[in-house]
Amino acid sequence: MSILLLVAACIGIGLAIRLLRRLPRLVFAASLIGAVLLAAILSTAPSGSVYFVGRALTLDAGARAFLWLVIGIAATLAFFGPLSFEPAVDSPTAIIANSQGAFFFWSLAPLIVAIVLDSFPLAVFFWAIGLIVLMMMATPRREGRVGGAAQFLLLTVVAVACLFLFNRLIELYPLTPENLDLIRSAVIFLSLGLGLLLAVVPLHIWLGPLADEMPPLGVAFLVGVAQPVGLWLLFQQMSAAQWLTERTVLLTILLFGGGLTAAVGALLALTERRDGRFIAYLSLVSLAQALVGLSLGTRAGLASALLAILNRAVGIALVAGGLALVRNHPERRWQIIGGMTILAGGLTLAGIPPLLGFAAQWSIYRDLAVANLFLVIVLLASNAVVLLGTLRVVQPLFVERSEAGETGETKIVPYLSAAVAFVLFVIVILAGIFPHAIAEPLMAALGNASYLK
Amino acid sequence: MPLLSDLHFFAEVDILVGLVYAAALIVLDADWRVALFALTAQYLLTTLLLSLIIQPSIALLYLISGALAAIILYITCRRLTEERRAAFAQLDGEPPANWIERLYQPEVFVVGYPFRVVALAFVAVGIIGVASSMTFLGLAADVLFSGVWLIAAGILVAILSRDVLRLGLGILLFTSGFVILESGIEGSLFLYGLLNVSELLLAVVISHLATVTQQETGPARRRGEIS
Repeated sequence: MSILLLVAACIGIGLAIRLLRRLPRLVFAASLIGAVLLAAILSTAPSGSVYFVGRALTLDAGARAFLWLVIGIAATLAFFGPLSFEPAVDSPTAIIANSQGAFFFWSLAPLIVAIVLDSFPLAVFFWAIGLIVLMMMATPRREGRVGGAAQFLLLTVVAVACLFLFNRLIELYPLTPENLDLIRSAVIFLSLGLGLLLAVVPLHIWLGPLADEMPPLGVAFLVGVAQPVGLWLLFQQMSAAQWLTERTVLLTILLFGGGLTAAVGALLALTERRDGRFIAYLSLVSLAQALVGLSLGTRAGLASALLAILNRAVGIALVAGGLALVRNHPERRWQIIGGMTILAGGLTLAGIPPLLGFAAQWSIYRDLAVANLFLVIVLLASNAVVLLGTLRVVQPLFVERSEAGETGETKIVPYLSAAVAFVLFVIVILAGIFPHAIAEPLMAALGNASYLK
Repeated sequence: MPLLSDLHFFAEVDILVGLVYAAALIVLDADWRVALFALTAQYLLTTLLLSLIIQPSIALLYLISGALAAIILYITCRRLTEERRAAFAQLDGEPPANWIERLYQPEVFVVGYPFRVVALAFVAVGIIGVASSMTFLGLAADVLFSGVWLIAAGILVAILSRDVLRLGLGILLFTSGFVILESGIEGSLFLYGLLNVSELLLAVVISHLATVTQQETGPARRRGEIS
């Protein structure tokens, strides 16, 4: 019942934000009330399964921890939404810009169902529904050309088909365990399906065109909230079917896919000047760290992968929030605060101590150095490039004097958003200093995965 | 006098031929009315095929969701056409002649008609080869051919189209093919119902993307004009 309440609350909050879109302060208030409501429902929700249309919706400790992450990041991005408020215009672009939080909560509803469902194909289906709903935020730039959002719809459908076929093949495999072709095909479909939706290199080509058509906060939601659901589904499959990691090259694919993704993502981010693409490419580096962590097959690797997912979501939210502040509020003080927020996000993603990113990556490097030193160097170099790319973006904000003077108008929303960013950064520092406070409960919930060595 | 099994066979062949024609029309004809008619016919034929695999009353659900998706797309196409006409009328002060309207019609495909014919022929030959020479998860040859044909045609439409709505038709073709395969393999009623819902959601998102594009960019670019 609590899960259905969460879903209903998400839809309701989305509607409220949509209706209040002309009043940014009330949008912020609605997002805040919504976040508190969701947190209250989640914290009081009883553990165990609820049956809905014959399917079990299970809120165990792992799912609960993951829900805290996705709800927290979605709410944070919704707080940043009113920063890009466009007054007194009712064009489709302005409507979308003013009600970004609505799309986040609407997209969150099916993602919540995907996290708690006991059936892989249905979870994949709801994940895809969340992604499709998110595409309502996109605004194609030009007529006469199919844009990134429309292409992404096609890729989503293709990826879902691949994952459904994967599911069918792994259901059949235990009936004919001698048929190794079955699991080879299953891993191909899994790699293709998840690779497409997670934008693992070389299947990342849709990411740039889509980022051009989405608001930066929308891109942040995609990579910080929606994509981790895919990693969650992958982890569940690896835990459920041990032979998937023992008898196939899945872990090797994750390892080298991760290495390649880190290198390519860092290089693309370094040269990128468009906000959406910059966020998207930055996120590839920390996605790679999560993939490499999962591929190690150790408890430390899994803990690091989970922390890397959290670090990625928070870092990307900070960068996107900072960019929203910088691009929509030209006054000097907001430029500096926005620049600091972007820098905080960049430092988080680059794994600079004492932030959470460092704690997340340390265990990965230590375990990986034994097996493949070259990949460690690639990951470290990628982090350095992420830092460089972030400095390149924020440097003009600190150095150049903004031409826009102070308006004298009291802007509550930027202050509130700056406070949210500050709280987020404090959380990242505290989590970086005391990573075991997060990792230990997570491992208690998830650390018995059968694939761990 | 033909046996019942013969009648069943003829019905299957008719459906397959119909699906081939319907998908080919969407690939080859640039007119949105023809393409939408073909999509609706495809939904009808897919429903008939599904009724041979699952219960006819359940299969009928697919026709309903397909018809609703077609209606959503029809309304969007009509609206966009009207808006384009209104934009021309605003430029010249009077509604444009038909030949002028055709001249300024935005390109639907990135390649010409002959290339599309050749591409379609290649795809058809490839799928006939695949469906006649291999089995997949115990699916009957006609079900496999229908599903793979619609999936391949959908991807072909999506690759070749320059227009969001036409790409959307490609996505819906793809999902139809997938529904056929999934119904043949899985048989989960809940999943089947959700796939029907997703059809509608996809139609809504495609319409939204097409509408936003049009409203943001104004009158159409001249045929063949490069940005």
